Amino acid sequence: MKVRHVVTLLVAALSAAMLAGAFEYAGTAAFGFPFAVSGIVLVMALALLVADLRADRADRADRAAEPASGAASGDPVPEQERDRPVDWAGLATIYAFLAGFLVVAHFVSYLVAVPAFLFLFGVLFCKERWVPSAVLAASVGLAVFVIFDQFLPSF
Amino acid sequence: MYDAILPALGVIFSWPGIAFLVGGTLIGMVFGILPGLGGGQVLALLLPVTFALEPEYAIIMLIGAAGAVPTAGSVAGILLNTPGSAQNVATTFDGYPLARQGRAGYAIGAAATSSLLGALVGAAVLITILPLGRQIVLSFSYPEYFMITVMGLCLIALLGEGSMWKGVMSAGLGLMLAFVGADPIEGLVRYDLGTDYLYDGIKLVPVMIGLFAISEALALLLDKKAVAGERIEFGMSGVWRGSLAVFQNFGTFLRGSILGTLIGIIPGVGGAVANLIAYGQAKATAKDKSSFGKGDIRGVIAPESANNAKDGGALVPTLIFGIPGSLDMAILIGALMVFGITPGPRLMLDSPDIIMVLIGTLVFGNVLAGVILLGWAPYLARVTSLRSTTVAPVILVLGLLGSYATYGNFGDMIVALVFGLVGYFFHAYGFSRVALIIALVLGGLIEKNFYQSMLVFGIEGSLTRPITLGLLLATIAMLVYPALRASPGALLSRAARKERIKVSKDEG
Repeated sequence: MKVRHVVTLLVAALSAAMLAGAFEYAGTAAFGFPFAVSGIVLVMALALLVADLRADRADRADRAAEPASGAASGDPVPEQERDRPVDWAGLATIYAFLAGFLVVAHFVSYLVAVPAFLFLFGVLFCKERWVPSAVLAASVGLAVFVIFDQFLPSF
Repeated sequence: MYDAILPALGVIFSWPGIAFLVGGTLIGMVFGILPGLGGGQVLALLLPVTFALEPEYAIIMLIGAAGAVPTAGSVAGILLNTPGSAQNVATTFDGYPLARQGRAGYAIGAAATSSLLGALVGAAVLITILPLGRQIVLSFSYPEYFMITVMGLCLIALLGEGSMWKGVMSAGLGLMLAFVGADPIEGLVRYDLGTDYLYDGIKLVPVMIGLFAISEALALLLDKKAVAGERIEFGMSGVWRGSLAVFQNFGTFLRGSILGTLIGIIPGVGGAVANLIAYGQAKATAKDKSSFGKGDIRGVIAPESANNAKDGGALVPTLIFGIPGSLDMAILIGALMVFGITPGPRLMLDSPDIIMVLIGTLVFGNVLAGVILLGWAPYLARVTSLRSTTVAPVILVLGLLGSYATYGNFGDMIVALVFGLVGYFFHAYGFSRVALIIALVLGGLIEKNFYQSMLVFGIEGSLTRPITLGLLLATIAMLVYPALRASPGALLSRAARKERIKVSKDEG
């Protein structure tokens, strides 16, 4: 199973959960739009998943028969949607940094989290030099302090 | 009432009125550019500041700031695919592809000019229809609201982003997300997973920031590219060409402005719907729509003219009935009441000078914001040439802070991060982020207005109302017209292809 199949499967799972959840509520609250929409999305997602898996199987069979001929003609899945490589390690690292940002913003202050994130992320993930990263972190931190801390009452 | 125009201009352009206009406009532009911050926040910020001022100057500062927000909101949408507010979402559909082609100045020029002129059209319509505003506002009820939202949802069929199947699925997902929270009829809380956070539903701003800003930052970081490629226009010539494009596509601009004003008049519909519907009509009525979504300037002109023109329309119910059509207008009413000015039918008779100051500030604030944006455009366009490792972390930080700033809820930052991933994978695998956001904007309105229409008017009563019927026919025309218009061309090209094949066979 490829990533695009997992994405479709997740949409199907979410719509199935909402459809099942609709039974918990009475009246129009659920047995109106939520029931109808989640039901339609579930059917569409499952149909897409089945069609996609069958197209992949046919594609593999064609490639096995003609290794040099490339993708089969008449394939329903457009080329741009096929199996894009996902940099899982990069994605996980970015989200680890963002999780750190949230933790510091929540338990310390966003005024510390913003420059710390920009500096550390710039140096460690983006492999930028220390000085430009420090300048960027300081300038954005200052702008954020002025706008959000000095002006906005909600912060 | 019109006698008050000249004295109002005197107030705006005398000292210190002009200083408050410039100050308010500049502050509004800063809030417009920052993702997640908009008219509501800037008005809430300025409100206590204006208590010490004369009512006229307070209005100049508040309206100047609120009017500049949608103009400036287009900048981040065009440069970084990060709409400043929900009313700039549609601008990103073609604005960001233009920036990626190195034509950010062209897009900003068109956005600034159409915003400026759109506000003028909105104000002109406002002045003209203000005496008739009462009848116009009262002629809209739940069935009309419902049909307008249906019209907005039908845009998904026109967007043509990726496969239609996945587009409809994405819209379904957006509707499902819109159903989270309190049911509009019975008040029963649905799908809240037992948390207080979901009691009010999934909020639009963090989802929008996640889907567009954070997912784009992820793509920039993982692809390690600048926003634009190698060929970037930095000079003013691109900006002027963008301005000129508004006049070359004057029909698109005018339709967007009038649509924006009309949608603005209807309380509770708002700028997000105005700019989406304006984008949809621009695409539906275009002869060649193949370039939409890939960097068509008409896709910038229509939504930007609509979201500025809607401010003029939104003042109609605000001033005539004291009904705030949006958060901005609610705060504005609050400000007016602080100064002892009560919006309502008597306002036009008792204080025409205040109304004219308000309209004049809306016009000149937008002119000022448009001119400033045109002047800055070449410098702003340089952002697209910065390395992704410089731009993307800043987008991440500002996106997260912006999603928090709107409601002051920490959970919104987590929602923005979750939808950042959703947006990244949706974009990578051909699902439509645009369809999802359109459905999320409209889902709650559709459900509420459908049930209210059924309860109050019934099916027959709803469909026999002239405006509802007109909107229904317009929606059908919007869906059918492109197909009808395309078919002769398609038939011709098919016939020409057959002819070519026949000729080549004959020659062979």
